[in-house]
Amino acid sequence: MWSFIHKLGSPPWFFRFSGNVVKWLLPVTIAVLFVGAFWGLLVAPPDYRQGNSYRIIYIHVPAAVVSLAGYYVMALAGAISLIWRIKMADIAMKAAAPVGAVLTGIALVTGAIWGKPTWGTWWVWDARITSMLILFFLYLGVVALFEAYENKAAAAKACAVLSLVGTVNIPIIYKSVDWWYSLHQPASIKFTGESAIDASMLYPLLLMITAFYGLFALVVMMNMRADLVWHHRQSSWVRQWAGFE
Amino acid sequence: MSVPDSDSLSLGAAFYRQFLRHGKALISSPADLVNPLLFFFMVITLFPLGLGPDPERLSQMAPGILWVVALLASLMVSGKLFASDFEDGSLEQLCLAPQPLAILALAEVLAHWLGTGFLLSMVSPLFAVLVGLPTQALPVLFMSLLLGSLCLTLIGAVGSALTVSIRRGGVLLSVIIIPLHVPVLLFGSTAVVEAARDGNPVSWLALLAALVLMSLALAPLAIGAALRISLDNG
Amino acid sequence: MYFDSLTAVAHMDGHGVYVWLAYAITMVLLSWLLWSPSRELRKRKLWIVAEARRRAASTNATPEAKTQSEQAMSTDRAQMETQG
Repeated sequence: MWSFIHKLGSPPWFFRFSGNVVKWLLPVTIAVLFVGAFWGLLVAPPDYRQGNSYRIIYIHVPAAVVSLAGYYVMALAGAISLIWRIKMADIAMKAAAPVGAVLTGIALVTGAIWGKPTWGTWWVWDARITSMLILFFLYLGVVALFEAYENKAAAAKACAVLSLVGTVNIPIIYKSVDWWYSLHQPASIKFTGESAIDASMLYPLLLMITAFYGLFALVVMMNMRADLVWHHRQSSWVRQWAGFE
Repeated sequence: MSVPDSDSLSLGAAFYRQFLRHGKALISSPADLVNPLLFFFMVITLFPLGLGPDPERLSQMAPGILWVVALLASLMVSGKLFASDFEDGSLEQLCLAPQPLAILALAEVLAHWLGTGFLLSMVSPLFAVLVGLPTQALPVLFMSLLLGSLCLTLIGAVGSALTVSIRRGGVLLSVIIIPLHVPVLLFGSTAVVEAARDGNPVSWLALLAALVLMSLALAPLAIGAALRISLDNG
Repeated sequence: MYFDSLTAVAHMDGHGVYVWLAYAITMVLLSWLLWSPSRELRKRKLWIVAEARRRAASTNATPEAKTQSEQAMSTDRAQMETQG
């Protein structure tokens, strides 16, 4: 296993490996996505209280879950790059940031659209949506910091530091927003209540979460491949791949 | 300003010397001490002007207003924390010193806090009157801002260290730091809200204190790393 | 299938606008996320091929053209260095 991880650090090896992975992961993920969406949209029964608008859950929750996990992936890659100075970890971190940001954005937008028929307003400052908004800001900060630095090697290190600081903060942010919300909100009103989810609704949700994780891995790998090819455009393995030599 | 030989200094002495140097720099320009307070004063008055003078509504919003404006003032001064050191080259000297950069940076941050956030928390009860904060909440306001401003300064210093090499990095600093400030704001303002409505602010102040301890322990490490990275950039 | 007809699917008891809007936005964004790096990869491949052709042409060219293309390559290398 260690030799596998060691090989991952080599750009030409990773490029070949990821190319093979993407080849089958892309159609599989898209298939799972469509099956899950079809199931959630058309087969699963409507919710007792919310009717058909709850079907947005099948994109809102997966996007939210993966965006949060993605931040940890990004921070982990940053930590590896800082501690062991592994270039590939740098590239992984850079690749993950925009994906996570877009997913958080999707979670926020779909959450807002879901809110309109459910609670009558486009936005509600409940604990979970507020935490997600702050996660969105954390992502945007990492992206903005990278763009601002001229020396891109230093930029990657700076983003690694920022992501690590953000990682330490995320549990604190989530908890503090939770407590803040429960203090300011009378207990009788619960916008995002915890209700047991029926099996017929759970399975499509799990499928969609899997699909979103797959998508995350896919896009990160594809971003990394594009980055690697540009970085090493003078080297022979890239020229071979491009069809030369 | 030439840098005296620091190799022979113990950690404590180096810390103290860095602290004094930055402190003196702050005191030598009184405008740097007064302007943030003026900012705090003026921005607070914007709220009654913007929201309307109704005393009941204002006093309900007072904790939030005071805390948000204190946060903004902290963001404003954070940008200047390492800027002068970066420009005159003393930042490089700091990184070359034998003592750990994190500790020396902490000395600077603490001196900076005494000249900014600490002063702000001292005068905050005066400005609380402007927005009609109930009198019983004043001690908690002071406590929460005292603890909170230290936290905000420490976190802001991380941002300053990350952005010091970037031209016009002030707005970028706010963008990367504001999400990290949120828990401090939440705990601090909620403590004051609780005090204003005769609830129990102690648990919220305790949470703030926990944040302060955590920041004191961890922020210097991030600041040290960030300062070296910034020197690499430019 | 829960729904009887295509119109029922579109309408979703009044919530259709919201559900389909949310899904549409998501699918557009996800497609963009997938398509953008693959397009970037293709563009860069073309650039590399074109660059290799330029270099091959320069080895057969006059000395002035040779130093010109060599200069271009060294600035390219220098750029790669600052970009880490």
